[in-house]
Amino acid sequence: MLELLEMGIDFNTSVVMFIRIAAIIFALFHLLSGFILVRQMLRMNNIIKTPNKTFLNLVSIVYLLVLAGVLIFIILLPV
Amino acid sequence: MSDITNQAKAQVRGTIHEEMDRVVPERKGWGFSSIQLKPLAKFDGQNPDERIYILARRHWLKNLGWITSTMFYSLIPILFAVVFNIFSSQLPQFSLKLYLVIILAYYSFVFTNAFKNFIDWYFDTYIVTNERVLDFNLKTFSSYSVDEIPLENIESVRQDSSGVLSSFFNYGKVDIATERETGVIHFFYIANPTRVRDIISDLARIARTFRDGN
Repeated sequence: MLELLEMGIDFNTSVVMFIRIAAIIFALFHLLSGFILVRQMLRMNNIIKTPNKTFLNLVSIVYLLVLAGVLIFIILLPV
Repeated sequence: MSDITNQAKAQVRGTIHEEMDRVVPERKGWGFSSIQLKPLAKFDGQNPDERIYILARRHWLKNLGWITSTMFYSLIPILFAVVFNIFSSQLPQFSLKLYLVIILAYYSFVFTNAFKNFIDWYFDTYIVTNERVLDFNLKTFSSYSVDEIPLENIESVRQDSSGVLSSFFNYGKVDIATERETGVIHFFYIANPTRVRDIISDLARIARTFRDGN
């Protein structure tokens, strides 16, 4: 690590950047899979209509908002 | 002439409903129950006169696996912090915000896993109506299928409860087979399989009786 520092490479910053980019990619794919999951759930909610339908729709919307919030937070947060 | 025929048909339908209502006399179970009798539910493609008598899902005990693993995964970051603390080791010197990013990404993944498992359980439904038996099969992220057998075609209903847990928690498998055994629907890990088997065979008997005109 000292050698890297002597060469002018900030090891810590590189690792931080790597973790951040990995987290952004992960959150992006996660949001995408969340969309698929919620889409599937809304479809099933229309196929099997139970009294919990409204509650489940609400939960799925909240879930998507949380995923979107996580992505935005990760992108905007200065680390 | 057609009025008389319609009247006679309506009368027969009324008698069938009465007979079937005697098999399942009252509503039982709530929205997230493993088994509900006469539930307040509807399904896509339900006929105007069709009534749901049983709505069943896998026994709640089958959720214990993913609930436990979700709780374990939720505790992992805390365990990490405790272990680092005990051994007085220092976490790599990154900013607190970076740790927050990692933890957020991690917990959202844990949450998605729990959500997926819940959907898998909730929509993997078995429905018994006064006309047919339906098996809704959902595979999250991939496919969805429905199998159905008309009640009057049901020849045998078999119950299989094996194992200590199944006898202790009263769950088991119910196999519903048609005359030629071409169509078989399996109700896996059903709560109260004896009652379910009994209801299905009684409903099938009533449906067959009226089909044969006896």
